[in-house]
Amino acid sequence: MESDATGWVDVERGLVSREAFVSDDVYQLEMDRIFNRSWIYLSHETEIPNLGDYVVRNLGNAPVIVVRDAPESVKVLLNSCRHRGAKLCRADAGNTRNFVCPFHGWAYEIDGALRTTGFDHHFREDTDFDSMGLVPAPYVESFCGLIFACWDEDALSLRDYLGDIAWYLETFFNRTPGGMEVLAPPHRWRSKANWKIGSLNFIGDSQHSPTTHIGPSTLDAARSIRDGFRKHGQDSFHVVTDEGHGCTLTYLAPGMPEKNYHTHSETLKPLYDKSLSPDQSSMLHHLRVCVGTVFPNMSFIESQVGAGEKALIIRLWHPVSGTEMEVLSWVFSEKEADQEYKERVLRNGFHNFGAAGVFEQDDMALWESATAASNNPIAQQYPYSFQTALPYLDTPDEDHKWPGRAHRPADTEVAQFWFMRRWDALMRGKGDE
Amino acid sequence: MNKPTERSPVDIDDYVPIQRFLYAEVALLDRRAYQEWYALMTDQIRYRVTTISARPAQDETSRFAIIDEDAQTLKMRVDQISDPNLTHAENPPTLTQRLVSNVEAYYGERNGVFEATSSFLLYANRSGSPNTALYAGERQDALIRDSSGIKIAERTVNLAQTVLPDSTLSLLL
Repeated sequence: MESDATGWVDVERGLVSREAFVSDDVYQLEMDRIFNRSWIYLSHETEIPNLGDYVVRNLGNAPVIVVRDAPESVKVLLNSCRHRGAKLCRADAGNTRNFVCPFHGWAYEIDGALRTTGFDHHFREDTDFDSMGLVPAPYVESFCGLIFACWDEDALSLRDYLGDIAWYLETFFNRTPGGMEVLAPPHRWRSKANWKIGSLNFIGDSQHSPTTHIGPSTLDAARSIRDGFRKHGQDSFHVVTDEGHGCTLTYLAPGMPEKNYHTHSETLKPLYDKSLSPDQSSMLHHLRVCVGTVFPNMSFIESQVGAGEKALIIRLWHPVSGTEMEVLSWVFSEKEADQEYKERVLRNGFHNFGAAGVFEQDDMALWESATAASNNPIAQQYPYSFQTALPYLDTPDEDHKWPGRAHRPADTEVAQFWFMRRWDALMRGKGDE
Repeated sequence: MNKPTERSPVDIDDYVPIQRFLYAEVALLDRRAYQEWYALMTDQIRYRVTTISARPAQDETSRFAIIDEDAQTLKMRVDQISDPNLTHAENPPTLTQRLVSNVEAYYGERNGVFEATSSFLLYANRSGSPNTALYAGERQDALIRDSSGIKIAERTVNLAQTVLPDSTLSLLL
């Protein structure tokens, strides 16, 4: 695929090529142009609280170890021995004092420095052992406990990369003095769907809710979710940023029972006011659902269905190929919350969204069908429609006082189309425009 | 559950009805008779499915739930996949065949209460696709027998899987 490709996104007509959602060539180019140049979410600080704690993740399509190598430091290291490539860590998570390759015994410190090959005396005298440590990601930074890393030597700082979405992330992940904590290891599952469908779904696909999720919305005792889906357009909006991030903020429609939707623990609310700005705090207190995506493949949602507590969830859509992804999903609560509250948040969170979520099971079935049905040349003559973005793209809400551009109403495809435009610019090597 | 050493295996007169119950129960799931299946749960049912993260062999195993339902939330799950108008994941239905074996049963702490463990293998084929998924693991049940028959008071399904193979799990185990 050439760098002068005309692009997959037709800005004038609001269309996106289906090839972008199935092709393995596109996937390879995404690794090169997007995943190896962007800040990618890897882990939350509370997954690796102690010295030597590690989790194994992917940075692009490179397997990496995310390790706490000092009390205030996290390293991201290529999980492949410099000698002959074997993985240092073959478990998903653990704690170690060093990394010893099980193949021939090369040993590394937990910061990745080579301690010994075991056969140092057989190397030439001028061998530079200091340059033979585990390959580190050049940039690792944390924001509100969220650990991101980037392979690109020329990357912006994480804070600059996040841009205007940072204000919204703070509202969810930095809303008490203690911060949030991961409540359990991530659910993981494979789905034969293109990863971008997940990112698009979370950045702002309000139109899918009433049809895809007819099950849980009908079965909710008060039918209140369904009313929420019907009415929320008028009270809600998208936020988009230049970097391709975005979120959809859904407020209570008039007449909906507040107590069913504002389930944050009363003991936590004063802490929110302490940690957040008045605007952030007010947003948090009045929201029904917030769902968003940090470009390219980290999404988050705080939502609530039925009688249970709202649960804050992070989702990673890890591309495996053009037609398959691995999904990781974590549930969060405030460190200060009591254990019983945390357990209710966790259970309610994955009842709805997770490896067996009652919402997610219907999403996945339909995303897989879209990927399967688009993976042929006939279908690829007919691009996907994002046309309901067009009338709204150039008319952001001028009264919006918070960071990012707001677009009303929320049941258009504006946020999704901005995501695809950013994706298209990076894929064409025009990310700086 | 009690430690295995403290448990006494049930007599054959109790074993056979338990084994028959487990076979009949799993047949209901394969027939998609989900509401009949739900009627075999007690009002206090706790229904859990766990997976595991891969840890070094010397570490303790780390299991965590992907499903953890009480009677009310389990009913919502059952209602969703029972009604063709309310499910996409199970419409058209996944074709399934569940194999249950290695049934062991022990007397519980009081009369009429049993602890049963069984192994299962679930073959699942999403219709219209040649792809199949296998789910395997162990089921640990607390069973209660009264005049109306045997019911499930608690079920924990421990999947022998770290990454679920085929999209999200909409099926019951």
